[in-house]
Amino acid sequence: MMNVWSKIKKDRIAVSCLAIILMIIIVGIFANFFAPNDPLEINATLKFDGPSWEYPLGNDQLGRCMLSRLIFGIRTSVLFVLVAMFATISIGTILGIIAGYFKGKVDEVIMRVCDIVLSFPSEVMTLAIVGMFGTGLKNILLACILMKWAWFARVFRSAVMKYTDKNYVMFSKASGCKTGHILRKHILPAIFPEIAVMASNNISSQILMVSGLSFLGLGVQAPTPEWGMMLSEAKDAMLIHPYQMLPSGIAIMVMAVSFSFLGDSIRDAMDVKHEGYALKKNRFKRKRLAA
Amino acid sequence: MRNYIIRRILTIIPMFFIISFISFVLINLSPSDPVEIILRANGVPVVTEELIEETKIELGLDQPFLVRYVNWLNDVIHLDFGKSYVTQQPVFKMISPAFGYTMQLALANTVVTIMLSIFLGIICAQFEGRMIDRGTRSFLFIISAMPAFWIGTLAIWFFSVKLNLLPTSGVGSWTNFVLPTMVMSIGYCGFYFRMIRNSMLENMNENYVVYARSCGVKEKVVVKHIFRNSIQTAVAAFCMAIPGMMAGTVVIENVFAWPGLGRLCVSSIFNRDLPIIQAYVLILALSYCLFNIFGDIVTAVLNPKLRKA
Amino acid sequence: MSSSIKISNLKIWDDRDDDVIIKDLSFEVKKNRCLAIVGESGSGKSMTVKGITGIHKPWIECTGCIAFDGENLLELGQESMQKIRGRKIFMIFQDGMTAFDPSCMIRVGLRETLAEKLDLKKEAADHCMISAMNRVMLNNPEEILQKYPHQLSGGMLQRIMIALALALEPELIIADEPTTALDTITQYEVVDQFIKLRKEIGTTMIFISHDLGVVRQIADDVLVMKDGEKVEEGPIEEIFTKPQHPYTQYLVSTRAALGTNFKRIMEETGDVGSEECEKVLSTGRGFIHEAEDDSQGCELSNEQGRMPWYHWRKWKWKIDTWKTGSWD
Ligand SMILES: Nc1ncnc2c1ncn2[C@@H]1O[C@H](COP(=O)(O)OP(=O)(O)OP(=O)(O)O)[C@@H](O)[C@H]1O
Ligand SMILES: [Mg+2]
Repeated sequence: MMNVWSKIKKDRIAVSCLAIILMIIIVGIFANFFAPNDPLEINATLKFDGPSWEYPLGNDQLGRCMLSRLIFGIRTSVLFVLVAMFATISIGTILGIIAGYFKGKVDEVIMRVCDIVLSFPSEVMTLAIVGMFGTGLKNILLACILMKWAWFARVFRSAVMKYTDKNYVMFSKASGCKTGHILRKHILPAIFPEIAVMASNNISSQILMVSGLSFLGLGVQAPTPEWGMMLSEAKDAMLIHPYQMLPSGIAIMVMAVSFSFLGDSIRDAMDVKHEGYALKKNRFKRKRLAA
Repeated sequence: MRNYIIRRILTIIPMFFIISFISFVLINLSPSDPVEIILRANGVPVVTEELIEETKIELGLDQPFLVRYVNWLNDVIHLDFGKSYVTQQPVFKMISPAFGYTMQLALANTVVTIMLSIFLGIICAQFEGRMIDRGTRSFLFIISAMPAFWIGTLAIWFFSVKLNLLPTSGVGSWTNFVLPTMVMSIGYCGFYFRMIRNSMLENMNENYVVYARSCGVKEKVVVKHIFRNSIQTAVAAFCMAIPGMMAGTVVIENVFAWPGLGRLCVSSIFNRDLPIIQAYVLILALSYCLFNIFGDIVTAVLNPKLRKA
Repeated sequence: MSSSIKISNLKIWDDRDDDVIIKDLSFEVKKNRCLAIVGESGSGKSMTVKGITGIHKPWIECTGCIAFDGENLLELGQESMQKIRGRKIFMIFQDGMTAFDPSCMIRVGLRETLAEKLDLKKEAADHCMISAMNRVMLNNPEEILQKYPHQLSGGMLQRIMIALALALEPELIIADEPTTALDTITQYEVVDQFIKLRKEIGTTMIFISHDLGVVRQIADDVLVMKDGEKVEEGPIEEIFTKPQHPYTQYLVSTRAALGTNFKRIMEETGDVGSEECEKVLSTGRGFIHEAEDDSQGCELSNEQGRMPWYHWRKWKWKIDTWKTGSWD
């Protein structure tokens, strides 16, 4: 765990991804403070205006401030996804740990349910749930949680099984530690990097999916700012004002790329085996030059 | 081996029941009343209690849940998915042309994705750690993190509007395939290409490769053996690519106005046309299940250790 | 036909961290002689021969001179090395089980090698292999060719490699611990094949082994390595009778202890002085019930048909060998 963290700290890409993510989250939380204008304020005279001092990224088809919409869009596009992911992870972790630690009947039941959930394609089921319960961000996130917890539960179960066989856990058990204590002190820290990798990659795909569904008009409803929907509005004006497509598209891309790079870096930090030759060679060359 | 295949195929039956049951339950969980949707879609001016009761009986909605499920299942087995609430046409008639279009796009995507990822996987494994490997990996990594609808619209803007080379949307000739296939397969490629590359690299460290080299066999032949072994692990994933693409075309179909299943489904969601959504879920979940089993069987047949068992 | 090989000032290091694996190694194998390389695990025996054939990982670098057939192998490009490998220098590996492509029949790899090296068509290649396999006492070679590696035992695969060597008639054979992964009986038979191989095609050979008993049987000269350096070199009798270097003395004395151990087991079972016991002591290898060997051919994974007490002895022997620490 400490090892993984110290390796990540040395990885420039991982650190910058982490910085970008934290920055965007903070900007999103304090959107009121950072946004220069009201994201909902319509101004017909400023339709499709280019960037100006007052409106740094220009205005959209209703003359609303693009930058403000982008900043407020962080909440719907990123923060809610993060909250949903947190719920997913919590459910998955709890069920996975229960299954892996207590084994037996409980394990059997949980894993059967997981099997059934996993045999359904998540994209299709998300569409189905949205179709049945109506459009809206709430239903999309609900669908995400319903379809994704099983993945986490599975991974955590096997991780827990792996670690409960390790000597120090056996030792703690033998020396009469409470189950809760063992879980908190030994097992959670051990599987934390795995949680981080999965969560990071999942958030990235989830951001893409939520914005995709909003792009189709199935997610957030107008006029609430959301990146996917901003893109779909910009698409209608594509022929005359292609510039409109850039800000929200780039925002989605930056978020998704940061999360997947972060996940990748954590994975690399976790296993020593996959350190590439070129990477090592370069490091070595640099060392020699410095010396 | 034969037993394995038969056992695997037989698992379709319980899967079919689970899938159909869930699709059926979903529609019944829906908060919106189907009768109301139908009446409203048909432009009935005044909705009276009587009218609702009448339609309910007409649709058989007054019967108990399980009876309705069995009736519906019986219809589905005879390819009768009910009538659309909105157009009043049989769902099967609406879905089948859309299914054909989606299938075309999914197949084209799968073929391109597989070929591209195999090609790039081999090249990158050969030049592991070099510029070309790292460049391709980062490029595809970033591309697969870009929203497909964004790349799609940018591609339309560039190739169709700016250069006026390709049609913006619709179906018809092969040129209509170019943009959607390009956009989708390049996104999917990131995943499959990495899988092939990593499994090639794993195989390169195997003993038999060193032995073949030490026997002085040509490098081309060695690579052939490496490829042969690494493709085996990828086959199951490739089989899952087809249903994955079918489900993944939803956004692309809407961007390129492709008259496929995804577009039909999205417009049905807006119209609250539940039977179509139900049929969509059923068809895709079933094809996931079928291709999954197919992939398992192909893997087993390709692997000599499993084949003889 | 055979050639001598002369290695001088060979240095091998890991380019990633500048870790030197072989430091300034020089030795020579004369024509038609067999050099055994012994030494503890990690002493760089495998790395040396990998350097000779050039099949090491890309980050491993070699300098020095490997004179073979009038050329310095280290200066040749991949193309010409590929020509030399197989036809002129042939390697036999430790683990037969993983040496063949698991997804193809044995035949496929052999055909490719023979097509590349001897320009043989499919049928001719099969024919060539079948006669070579007959020479190494493999029963039913036609059937074996159509099997997958997992269907054959380690000893059979090892013999197939030897058969391939017979077919290719290389000038230099390098065997890297060809018997380590095998059980005692199979070891005996594989070593026998090696001795025959040397007799039949009379090639130069480099033979790496942990097992001094095997070395004594097969080699003419011994090179003792430790930590990537040559410790001692000389004709086999000299090394075994009057080892100069303390490390060699240690190695040889462990073997002597082994012999004593074995004598003790035999005493316990009351077999001392029997013909078999003497043979084991003189060759340093496990107890073999020879009568079955020729008739059984290579069906060695099939342990039936052997005397029941045989197994017990085999295990006892293994455990004792392990205790004295001569393996690894
Ligand atoms: N691919 C490699 N990259 C870097 N170093 C290596 C590699 N393979 C081996 N080494 C190093 O080379 C040294 C010698 O290894 P080698 O395999 O030659 O030993 P060996 O004498 O053959 O041992 P054994 O008897 O176990 O086969 C080892 O210390 C190892 O650390
Ligand atoms: Mg070795």
